[in-house]
Amino acid sequence: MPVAESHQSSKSGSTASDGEHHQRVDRAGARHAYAWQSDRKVIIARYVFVTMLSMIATLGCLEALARVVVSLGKPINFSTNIFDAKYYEAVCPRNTAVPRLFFLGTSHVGNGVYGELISRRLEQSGYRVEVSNLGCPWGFPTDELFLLREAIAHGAKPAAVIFEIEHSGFVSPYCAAHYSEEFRKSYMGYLVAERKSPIDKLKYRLDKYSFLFRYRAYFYQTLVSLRNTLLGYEWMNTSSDGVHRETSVQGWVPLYSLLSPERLKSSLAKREKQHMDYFQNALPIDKNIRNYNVQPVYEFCKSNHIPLILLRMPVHPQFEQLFCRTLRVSPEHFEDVFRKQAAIYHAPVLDFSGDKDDDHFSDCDHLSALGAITTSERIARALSEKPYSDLLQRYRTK
Amino acid sequence: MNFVSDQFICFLVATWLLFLIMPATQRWLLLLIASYIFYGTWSIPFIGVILLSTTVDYVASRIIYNNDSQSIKRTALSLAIFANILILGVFKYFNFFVQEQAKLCGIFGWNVPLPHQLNIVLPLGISFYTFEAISYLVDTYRGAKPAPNWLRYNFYIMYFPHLISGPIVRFNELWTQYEHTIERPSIQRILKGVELIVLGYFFKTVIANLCAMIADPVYAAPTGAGTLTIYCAALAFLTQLYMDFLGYTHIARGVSLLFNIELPLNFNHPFHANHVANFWKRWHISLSRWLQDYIYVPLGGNKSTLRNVCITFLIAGLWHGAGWNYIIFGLYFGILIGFYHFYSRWRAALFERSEAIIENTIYKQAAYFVTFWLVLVGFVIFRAPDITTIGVFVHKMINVPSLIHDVVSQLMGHSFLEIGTCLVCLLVLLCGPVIAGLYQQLFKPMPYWLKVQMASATVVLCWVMCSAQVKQFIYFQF
Repeated sequence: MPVAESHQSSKSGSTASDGEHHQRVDRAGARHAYAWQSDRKVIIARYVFVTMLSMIATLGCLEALARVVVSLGKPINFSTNIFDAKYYEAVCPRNTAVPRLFFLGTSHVGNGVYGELISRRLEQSGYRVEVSNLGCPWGFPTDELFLLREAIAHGAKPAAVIFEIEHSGFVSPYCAAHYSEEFRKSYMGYLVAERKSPIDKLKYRLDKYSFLFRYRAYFYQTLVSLRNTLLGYEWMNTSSDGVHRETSVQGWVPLYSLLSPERLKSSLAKREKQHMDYFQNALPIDKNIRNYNVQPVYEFCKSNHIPLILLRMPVHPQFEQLFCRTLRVSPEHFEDVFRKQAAIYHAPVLDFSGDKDDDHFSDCDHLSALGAITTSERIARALSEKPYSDLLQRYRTK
Repeated sequence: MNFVSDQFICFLVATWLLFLIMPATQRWLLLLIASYIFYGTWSIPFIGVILLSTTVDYVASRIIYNNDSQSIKRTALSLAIFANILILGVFKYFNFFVQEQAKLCGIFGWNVPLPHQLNIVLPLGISFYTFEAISYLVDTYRGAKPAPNWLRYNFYIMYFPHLISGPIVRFNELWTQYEHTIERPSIQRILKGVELIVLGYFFKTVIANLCAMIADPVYAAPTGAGTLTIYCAALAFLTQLYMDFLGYTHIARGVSLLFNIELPLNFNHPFHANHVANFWKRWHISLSRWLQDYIYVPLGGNKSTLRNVCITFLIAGLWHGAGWNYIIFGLYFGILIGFYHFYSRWRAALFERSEAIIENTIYKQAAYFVTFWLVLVGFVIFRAPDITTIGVFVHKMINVPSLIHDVVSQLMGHSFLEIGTCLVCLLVLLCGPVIAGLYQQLFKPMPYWLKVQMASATVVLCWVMCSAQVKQFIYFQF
């Protein structure tokens, strides 16, 4: 240490009085200490400068690489999430002249309504409408209303809106008033969602100007599938959630895996945890409660003169029991709550609850592909019968 | 607060900047406060559990240190260890024992009223800090100097880089580093710390997470999987576990180096072991060391090897979790190590030149292979969600004709998906020393700017891999 050495040398060579000696030692020490700190500062400054410059250079190279990779691939369809796929579903119908029946809701609808099948069955029954499934996993009504507005802005003529009454809509008005996190992650979401916090604004800017940020999910998918790309062409036969997912025609996202006892158990445990986190402050629910999620859709349909039909999708009986248990209400009480929604919103309710066939489910509250086909057949049948057929009467062709 | 999260990065940067500007004598206090904040983000009530535990330990250590009477010392030690084990037992094992008792009564048709299960979650890091507390108490009993005050002892337990998943540090290893002052780290230490952190994130977010995607679906439904798929999943999980834990340890050690405190190594190329006992000297070293010093040796050590090893590893298995698979996991390794000791004695007695046999290349390679395979089976037991899955995995793993058939049919089908995955996993697991050597040779002589560029690119890669949900560190659940 230079400071210690200077102390020693000053002490050994000193002949002056104690006071002078100390003053001299302090001055010498201070000078050396200053020099040492100064060196250190220079070293640190050099390190910081080189680090910053290198990092900026790396980010620049990676950004360039990202632009090359993006230009080679087709990330626009895959890099963003389901909302972007649904956006195309909303604004690009097969036939612009045909009126459309919009299904809105959560993943229950997104996974459980096979739009093309319903269109065909309705056509066979004499109604010419095209079904669009805008139900999105983790979607809020606000997101789907955005998609619906976009569809109308692009010339769609809604024959009716069929909106899912979702269980969680009874406990919190939050979803009815905000865009969902998933929607905000989508490309469309980035364009429209409100951003209040500076971090959100920063993220938006980065996404707008940087391919590295915007296509992060695409790069992730590319990296994850690298194993398949390099080593083989078949994925292991797996029942893992999400592996066999694809967006099909007219917005359907089928879940091919069937329910197993383990899957039921794990999905119920997952839901229970979510419910415990989410519902704690809203218990127990009142009999005359409104489903918060329906309100904005109801108001939109009313102001645009679009018929509204409420839809109750099948969920596994054990999920219903879990829900009632979490909300501390009896199943009868809960049935009453559901029935009252029709009167509150002056809309008929298509009720498909009570499906007890395990093969129809992929987990505790999502239909399997088989369940979706069966339920879609039932929806088509119900729509072609009274009282729902009255709403579609003017689209009758025979 | 997960180590792999934005919050943790912000927390770390803020704490580090404050650390740099604080006086050297007060830095340990800042780190203690930061540790409480870190733990508080998981659960504030569980801080109470730690406070209770540390108070009991500190009081007991003072009693042990200040009294000359052996009986008082022994009583204080026993009571404090009992209190620690009681807390651990209630949180970790109570529900398991209630469930198993109910099953047992059901088998015999007894209608015994059972206590209700506790609707609680496990306090994070409880297994780690309980073992640290026990080591502190026993060391004090053996004559080591205890912490001068409660806060200083608290720092030893709470210090956030090692709080959740170790390494299990001895009091004296840490205490000497914050006894008087904690100086600012040197630039070399900072760079070493950052290097460890970046490597840790790479191991966790890239390798471990990719391996989890391969292993999890097969462990969830192994019945329909072929032998090669089973091997692929077993190897992928072993790689995941190793990279996950090594990643955590690297991050913990790196973060600690930023605060000028060095934590011990936890791994030493474990899959380069030529027998199972050697594997445990290289895998989770801090736990193995703890088990040896505080369980195996007090039990009598080599006097009754098989019994003592089995008890030690049974405790090791139970320490990992409350489940039959962990008990089997512990017993499995206990029996293997016990038999290895018998075998080595028998070999030494039977062959005069047993050292020459060990040095033989074919013997060496066979020993590496057998050890690796046995360890692989051991970690199948560790990961399997139930006994049935263990049975399915082991049954398929010993079916060599089926394995050959699967390999040939995959090669004939021009797909190298599973074979390639197995090879990559083996490369990661077995070629640790070679990779580490290459890393030293290639990375160390690089100019600083190039190192920064490589580190930045790695960070971006980790960030991309975090775009999907990042799994929690496996050892966080223990």
